[in-house]
Amino acid sequence: MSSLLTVKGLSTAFLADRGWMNAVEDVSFQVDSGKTLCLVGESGCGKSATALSIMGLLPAGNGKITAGHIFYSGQDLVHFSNRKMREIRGREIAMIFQEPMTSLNPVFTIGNQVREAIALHEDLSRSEIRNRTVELLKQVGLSSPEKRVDDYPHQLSGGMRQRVMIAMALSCNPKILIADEPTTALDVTVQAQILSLLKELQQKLDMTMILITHDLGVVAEMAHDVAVMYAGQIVESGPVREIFKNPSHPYTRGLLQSVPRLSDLNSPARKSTRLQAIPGIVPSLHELPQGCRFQDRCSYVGFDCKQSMPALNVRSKKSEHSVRCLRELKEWTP
Amino acid sequence: MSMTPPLLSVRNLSKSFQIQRGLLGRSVSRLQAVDGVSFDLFKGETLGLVGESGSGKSTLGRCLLRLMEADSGEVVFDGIHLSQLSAHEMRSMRKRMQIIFQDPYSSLNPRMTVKDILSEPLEIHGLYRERNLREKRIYELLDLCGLRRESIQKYPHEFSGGQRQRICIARALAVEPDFIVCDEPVSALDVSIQAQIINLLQDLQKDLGLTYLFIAHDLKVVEHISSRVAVMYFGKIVESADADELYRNPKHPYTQALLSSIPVLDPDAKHTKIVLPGDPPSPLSPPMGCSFHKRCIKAQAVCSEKRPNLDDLKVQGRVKPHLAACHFAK
Repeated sequence: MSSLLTVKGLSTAFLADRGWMNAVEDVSFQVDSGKTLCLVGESGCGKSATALSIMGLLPAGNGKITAGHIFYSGQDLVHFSNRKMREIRGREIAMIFQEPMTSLNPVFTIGNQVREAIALHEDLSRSEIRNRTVELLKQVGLSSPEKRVDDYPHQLSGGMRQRVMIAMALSCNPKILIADEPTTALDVTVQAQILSLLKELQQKLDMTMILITHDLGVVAEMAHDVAVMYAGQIVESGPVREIFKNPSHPYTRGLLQSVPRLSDLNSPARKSTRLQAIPGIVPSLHELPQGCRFQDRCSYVGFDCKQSMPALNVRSKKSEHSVRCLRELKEWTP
Repeated sequence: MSMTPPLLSVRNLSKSFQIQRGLLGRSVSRLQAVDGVSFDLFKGETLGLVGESGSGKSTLGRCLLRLMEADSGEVVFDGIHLSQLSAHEMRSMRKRMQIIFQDPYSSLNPRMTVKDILSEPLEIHGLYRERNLREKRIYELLDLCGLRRESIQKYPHEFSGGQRQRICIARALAVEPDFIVCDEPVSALDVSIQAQIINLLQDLQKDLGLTYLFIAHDLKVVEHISSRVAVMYFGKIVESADADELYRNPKHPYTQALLSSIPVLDPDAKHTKIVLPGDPPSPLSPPMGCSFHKRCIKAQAVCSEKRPNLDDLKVQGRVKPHLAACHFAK
């Protein structure tokens, strides 16, 4: 399997009150063609900043890539000019965001906005564009798209707006779709609709996806590969089954344990009454400790963890399962 | 049913909002947010209330405390009919009934220190009037909710989301309530922090004998914390039962779809999802009959004509009732 997108040693900094601060540090991963990579982590861990770096959408003046490479079909996007990036965005790599209400312009009809996306990249006549718009809206499962094209965003429900966003993202047949928490603002039954739509489209269009989420349930359902992020770094990465069956970083284990599990329909009694919470809070990017960034919340911490930053090392060559931890943890029992 | 009378008894509670549409606000339509809801809540129990956005869960929670006035129906708290109380009497009643909100950022006054925030309810209800005693009480509350004692002089912006929610909980506990409405208390928090707050709420319940109405849309959290669960759809309770029973043996097609849409933490899980067609109907033009019939896989002609009652299904082997509002639930 060839990798379509390779990120190598990416560091991204933002300008804060106290100067430049690394929100993403030394992040490396690759996404194989036609597969889904999930970036998981809590708020502020750098998952969205990573996505914005790939898209070249960092806020000018306040955000910049300080190191690393983003290889897309042999070219390094980090050195691309704005104009060259504009050709990549939408056509090659497209993105959808969490809040479909704020990402759509309230004063234009949805048809207008989808048409704009097409007209920007493709040389088509007006009627061709109109047809393509209706076709796209149909593809994302919007009912009676011929009428819906003239609706304004406020006339649509949250789920339908997200479908429109997906239609816009797909308008130029991108190779890669980056979805940043696409279902977080939606109800669970609507989330199920959108996730199954994304899966279906991926298969039909042979699309590669980077899905950013904090919901481990969504990861288990969607991902082929997973990268778990904590305080700007990847702490564990590997194929989805490895991450869930053999999680090897204390943070990944902590995340899996702190989510209540639905009781198994076949088990006789309800499970334990107490959740195993991860103590403490994520360190501020201003006050990162020396050594491992998870040390203050980790139950396996030792003197060595505070000496220097553990490297992200491959644990299992066969499956490319990498972990940023000095400890070799016992076998995992959920 | 239990012999002890319920702590809180709700009968036929309804609440609608006026929506103005059109020019000059002439055509006025009503949105029925809560539609004839009845349930009992016993001391020391947690009733989980689940439902999707717009199903009326939060409105219901607010109507219980009369933070919003219901249109009709009765709320009886410990034998007292709340609707008959004057505003003044209701205020002293709130000493026993408190609420915790979803967003710990907007529910704390940014200009007040933690000390002010926790003193306010004590002051309003005339508790711990003496300075030393009041200070002692505040330290007690901080200890109880896992906050450092130094926090007392700090402002809300100096805390993380989880810590702020702890302050909100401490504020609710300050007046020693019997009953707390928890309105999505963990949905704004990160997963690792969610677990901390859920554990705290459970410990407090055990130690102080609290009764909770736990409103949330996260079905996993609700199962974990609740002894009983009620599912709301479109302003009505469509199913309620013991948490065990409801999650293992859901009877209403909506509950079944809801439970099947939860993503499971197992990449190998092969469960069949019931993906509901369409969106929830507009609350301004509710469908006739059962409000779920347009999205329901079991719908028949009768569903669009007759509204089903919330009846006990008399499930075999269950002592406590398992209620469902569906013509075809057995």
